[in-house]
Amino acid sequence: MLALSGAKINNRRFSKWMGQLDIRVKVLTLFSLSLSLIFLTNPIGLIFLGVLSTICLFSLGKHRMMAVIYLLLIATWLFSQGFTWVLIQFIPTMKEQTIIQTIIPFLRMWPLINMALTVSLSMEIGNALMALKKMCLPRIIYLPIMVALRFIPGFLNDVKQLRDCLLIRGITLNFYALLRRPNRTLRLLLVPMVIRALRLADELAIAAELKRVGYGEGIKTEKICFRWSDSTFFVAAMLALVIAWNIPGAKVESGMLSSIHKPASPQAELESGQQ
Amino acid sequence: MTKADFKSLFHWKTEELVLIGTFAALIKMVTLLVALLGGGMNPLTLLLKNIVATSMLVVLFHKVPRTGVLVLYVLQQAIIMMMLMGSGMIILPGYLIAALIAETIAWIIGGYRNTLVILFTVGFYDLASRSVSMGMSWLFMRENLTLFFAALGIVGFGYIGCLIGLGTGLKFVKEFRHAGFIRR
Repeated sequence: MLALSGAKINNRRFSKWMGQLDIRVKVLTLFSLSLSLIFLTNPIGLIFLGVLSTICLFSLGKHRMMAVIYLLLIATWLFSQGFTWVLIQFIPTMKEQTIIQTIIPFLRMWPLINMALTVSLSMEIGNALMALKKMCLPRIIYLPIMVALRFIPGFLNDVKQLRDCLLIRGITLNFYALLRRPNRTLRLLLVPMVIRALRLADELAIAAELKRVGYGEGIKTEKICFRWSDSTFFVAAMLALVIAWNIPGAKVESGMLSSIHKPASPQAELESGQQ
Repeated sequence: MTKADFKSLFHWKTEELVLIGTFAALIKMVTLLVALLGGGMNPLTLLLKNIVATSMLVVLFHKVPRTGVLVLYVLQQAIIMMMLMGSGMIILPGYLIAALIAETIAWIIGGYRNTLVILFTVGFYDLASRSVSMGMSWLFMRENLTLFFAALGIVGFGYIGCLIGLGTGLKFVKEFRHAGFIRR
């Protein structure tokens, strides 16, 4: 949301450089990272990518947000540990699951979350829209996106107005109201919002027709072009991926099912082989 | 399908495209708002979030009853997710396949002129997209399947919200029709 509401980008040198990178390069890097993380099982490689992506995110200066997200990640890991403990009570063979096996999914999420946040926090919507247009996407794809991204800040303002309006009637929108009367709270929140959206859609459609935005005109794309910093960033990111794949480390088996079907000891393995 | 029908799939009025964009943003924002009001992701918030998203999707289908609306909506959602959160690229192919299957089934059984077809399409899409998500979760959490089972339970519970959302969506459509916002 910060990216949409004016994008308070840090003025430090590196974060400025991150902000100036082409959005297409950042998204492509994120996509390559996501793809490689699916198949990468080496914990050392995952930690390496996690550390690099943390440096990128740290440079943006959003330390408080980082702390909250890392705390959430740790809480989710603890939750998974609790769930594992419950399942162990019913499936005793699950005791063989190692700590590395439980931590690897979180190691996989760590660089992905860092990079996703880096992309979204260092992005300006205006540039993103120009990049979309430059990518020669068809009208049926880029026009709704433009509308959606322009609509979000206005929508936040509408929510504030709606909250004030309900306060005048003595109704507050909070967790207690949602818990006590979920049906009424949802109706009060949803119906005005949908009506507002329908009216706004009509107005925007007329405006778009009048300005001929819907026909591929009205957006200047000359400003967006690849620079040396974009290619440097992309090459560096790809190099990091290659290094992460080639770092020697432990190979972790997939899932608890592998431990369930695994013979209990080398002797048992030998016996099963003889049979 | 005639040649003219096929050509009409790619010709959209600006009004329809704007409406899809508006609803894509609205659904994202309202679900986020419900999650914030509910103080994070708890079972009640999860249920309500899914009810809201499905209800709005039903309203969108009644407002723009055209073949291809679901595919366009999924594309918008994925791109918005990508721009706001950075994720969405990986899940997009699976979601698109789910949307295409749902659209094809809807087209075979008579198109979006019938409310029952709309409800079936939305319900089917929700189920198919969740299955795809769980497939992706398995890929990411295959070393710790207990976490996967926890996610499976949560997603299954969320689908109950989607099923309730089909009913509430129908109720909303009736109200909006009465108010003159939906004219069919």
